[in-house]
Amino acid sequence: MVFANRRTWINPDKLFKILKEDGYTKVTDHSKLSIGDVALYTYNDKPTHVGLVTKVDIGLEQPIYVRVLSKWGYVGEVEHYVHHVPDFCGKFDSYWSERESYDV
Amino acid sequence: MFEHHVREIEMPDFQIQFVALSGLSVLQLMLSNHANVKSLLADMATARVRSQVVYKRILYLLPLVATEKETSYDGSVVTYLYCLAVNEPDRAYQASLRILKTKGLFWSRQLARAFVQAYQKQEIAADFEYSSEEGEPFAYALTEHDFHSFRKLAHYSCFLVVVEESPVSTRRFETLRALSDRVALENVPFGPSTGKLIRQENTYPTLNFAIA
Repeated sequence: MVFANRRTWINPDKLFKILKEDGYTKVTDHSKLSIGDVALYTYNDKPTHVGLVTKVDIGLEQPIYVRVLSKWGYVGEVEHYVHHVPDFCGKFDSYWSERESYDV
Repeated sequence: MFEHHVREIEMPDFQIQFVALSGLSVLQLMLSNHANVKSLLADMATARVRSQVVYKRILYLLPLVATEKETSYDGSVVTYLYCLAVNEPDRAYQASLRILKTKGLFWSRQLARAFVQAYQKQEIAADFEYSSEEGEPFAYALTEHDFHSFRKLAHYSCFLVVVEESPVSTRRFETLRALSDRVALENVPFGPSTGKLIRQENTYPTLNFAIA
């Protein structure tokens, strides 16, 4: 859903490669998180799942609420809080952005 | 002993996790690290749970799979299949063939298909040989993967194809039996199959398979 416009199913093994080749940058400063960024989930450092950030409520220092839209296997697309995923989706790891201006 | 594992692996809380998986690699990653799976694998490794019991459990569940609900028992079946694949590939291969014939499963079929392909691939190099020496051409093909090469050979001459005259392993025997079924189904152009499979009791299965 995130990288292929809902047209096909991408093997999670390829997620790091896609992030790198599409020019995504890891968002280290969560105050700059934005709608459209990507939430990455991993398990034992291996990518397992991704979601699109759909809502960000910025607090004083870091986002308080981040909601994500992601595809849960053959259940369908679900909008959820970033940490609220089934165990088999892995654990939330990091946010990634393709905005070129992010690091400026 | 096994009843404990059945309770854990077939309870809805465990099975529901599988519907959210996003790939076969993730499935294998999660299974290899899951406490319930590790526990069953440990018991199988120490023979406290026999692989035959796990295999029979798969066969028990398959008819219960409701085709209108893709998730029913899918998580349980794929978990048992994974444990079999780790501990006893031959039996996992048999289970995979049965799973692939069952509708209403998703991850189980994905893993079964991947396992069958990997399993058969191992056999190719050793199991396919042919000779076109003048006078007595012969060939044998032991995997379904080789079937197309097998057919190409058959176009050149009227072959007497003898597959493995010596005793073969149970695994090869099953593959060959599948191959002979395929020959009949495919209506091979060089004539009807006259393959004959003979299984002897208390010994390795012996195969006599000929196409004239």
